Amino acid sequence: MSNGGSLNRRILNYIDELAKTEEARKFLKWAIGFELERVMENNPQFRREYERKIIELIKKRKEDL
Amino acid sequence: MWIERISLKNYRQYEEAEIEFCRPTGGRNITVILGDTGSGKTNLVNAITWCLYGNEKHLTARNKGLDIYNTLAAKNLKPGETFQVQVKIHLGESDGGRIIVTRSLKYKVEFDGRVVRIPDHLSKAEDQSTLEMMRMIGKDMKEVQDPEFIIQKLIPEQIEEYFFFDGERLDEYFKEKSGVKIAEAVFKISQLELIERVIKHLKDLKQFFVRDRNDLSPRIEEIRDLIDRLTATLTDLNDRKEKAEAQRDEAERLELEAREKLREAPVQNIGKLEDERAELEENIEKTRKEIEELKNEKIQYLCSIAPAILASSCIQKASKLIGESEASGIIPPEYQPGFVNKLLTTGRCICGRDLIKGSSEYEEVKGLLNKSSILASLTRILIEDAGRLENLRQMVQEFPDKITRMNSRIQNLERNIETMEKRKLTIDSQIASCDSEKIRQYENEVQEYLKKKEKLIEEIGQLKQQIQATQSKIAMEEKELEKELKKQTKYKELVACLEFCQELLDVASGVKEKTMEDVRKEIEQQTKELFFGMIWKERTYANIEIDEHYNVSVKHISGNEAIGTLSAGERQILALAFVSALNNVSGFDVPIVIDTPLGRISSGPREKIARSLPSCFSDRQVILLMTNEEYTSEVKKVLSEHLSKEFSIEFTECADGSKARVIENDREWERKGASYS
Repeated sequence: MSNGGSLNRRILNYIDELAKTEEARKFLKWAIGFELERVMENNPQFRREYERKIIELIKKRKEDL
Repeated sequence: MWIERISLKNYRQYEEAEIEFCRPTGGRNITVILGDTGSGKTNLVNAITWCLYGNEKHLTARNKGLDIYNTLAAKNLKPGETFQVQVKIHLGESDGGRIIVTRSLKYKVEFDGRVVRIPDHLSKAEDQSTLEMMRMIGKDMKEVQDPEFIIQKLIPEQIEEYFFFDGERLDEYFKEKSGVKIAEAVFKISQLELIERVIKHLKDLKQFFVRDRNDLSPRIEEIRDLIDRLTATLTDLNDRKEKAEAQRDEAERLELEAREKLREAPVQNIGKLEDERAELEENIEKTRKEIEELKNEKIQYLCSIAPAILASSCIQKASKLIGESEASGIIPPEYQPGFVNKLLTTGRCICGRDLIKGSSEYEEVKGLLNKSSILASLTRILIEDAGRLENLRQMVQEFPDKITRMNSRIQNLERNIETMEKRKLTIDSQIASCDSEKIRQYENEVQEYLKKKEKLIEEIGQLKQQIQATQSKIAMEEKELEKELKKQTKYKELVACLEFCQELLDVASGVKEKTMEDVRKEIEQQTKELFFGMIWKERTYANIEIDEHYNVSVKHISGNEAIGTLSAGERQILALAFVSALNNVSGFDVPIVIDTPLGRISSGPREKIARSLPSCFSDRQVILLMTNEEYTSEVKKVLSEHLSKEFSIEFTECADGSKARVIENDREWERKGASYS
């Protein structure tokens, strides 16, 4: 459980509104969750996780095409 | 979320204290803790922040130099004994869950009486205190492995100041218009840090992708450029070669044309003829000079030989005579004059007789001397001249052959001149028979085109070499490009990642801007409502605005800016309204703890603020730490309908330290409820 839910929801709603692709939507929602889970600044894990997720979504986009 | 209980042990002035709170229900969300200045109200807020974050966020200047442990607790201990400072907070969650957070710090009394800290080396806190957490999972309370993480999720440390704050310091927010500070607060509380971190990480990742892309295939473009440049060079070289070949063919054609014209001319090579003619003239002249020299030589020879020829019979005779005289022994003489003279000088003959001057023997020998002297001279002349005569005789003998040879040589040379003159005449007649100017022109043309052709052939050769070298280089680079292109798959993947990264950055930036704007508008609206709910000068101010740079503006009814003229109390109300708005907009369900909320408010408006306080924070638990001066009967009265519990801090100062106790007050307001309302 995490706090501050209403604002998170607002951010998620804006992601839905502004993202033009499903992949962007999925990534940003995942990234918000990731940042919420890993609250420490300059988390050294971020690169590996972000990169993995981006590649996964790009591959999926290719497959869908 | 609400605080169920706070237990303090050996924490600052609290040797042992326990405060049991009520769950905020039915509109009763206020807890009041009363205490005199310096009794330990602020340290209760510090106990909360220390327990949660390992950091006492609200230390007064006086407390900053003091140890966290209660001095009285250490006083009664013997050397070697230990004791523990501990703050334990029981939190209740809206879904019925429970969390117990415990922070402790161990101390030991040394033999010299010093009290030293025993650090927890696994601690993440600055003071190396130990943090433990128990959380209800299902029906059981279980220990949580990463308590800092859970706390950070529930009450993020970076925004704790908006939940646990000093009421007297609130007005600092608006002492000056500080858009940056407000923006920072909005930013923190609105969780935009999350999206900001996403943006930051995406930007960092983009840099990594760019670097990887450059590292992976930095040469593709470079090689392509190089191949393009080499291909352009090759095209240029081929063009130049083709042009040179065309020029060479043209020169060859013109040369052949000129040669054809020359072939058609009566004389094909007038230049050569002219050169020959000039050479003939030169040779004729040379031969003539040679003849002249030979003739002079002949004359000199004839002059030198003529006397000998003329005297040849005399020479023959003289030679004969000398020969005969020699043969007959006339010459050379029998006596040598030197010998005879010696005999005369010595005065003795070879026969042994004395030769006395005047004697017959002497005179006879002297006569021999005269005779031998003449003969000796004559013989010397004859012998010497005999050689000369022989030479002259030989010269005369050789004369016919020699003169014949000379003549023949002169004749040969004269014949040569004749031949050369004839050839010269032939050439002259040939030259005279044609248009020499034209022929010379053709000849020049042939030479000119020939030179041009040769030069072009050389140039073509060089161009061919260059073309070959360029072709090899292109082939080499194409192989290199092929290698690089094999990496292209990864390269394309990185490019796709980069593009996706940019797309994400654009969306995230848009989300950030829109959320900030929404939050700003909502906070503006709520601040306005709360401010006008609490302010006692109802007809003084017209509006509150927060512009896009987060500058807060309070408009006087005259339309003028009034934020600079607000009193301390008014500023505190504005700040309280603002912090409440921040709190409400944030969506964080966290209890509110306010130290001296009405400290700067004059007696009149206190009642109005106190009345608004419970609604400021909706139904959330609000713990107010107040002095008796703040907690006037009017304030007590207006808060009574929202009050859940009331405590007092009993503070005692003694020689060895100070101690405080928290005791729950009599629930007087419940009894007086009817009369209050």
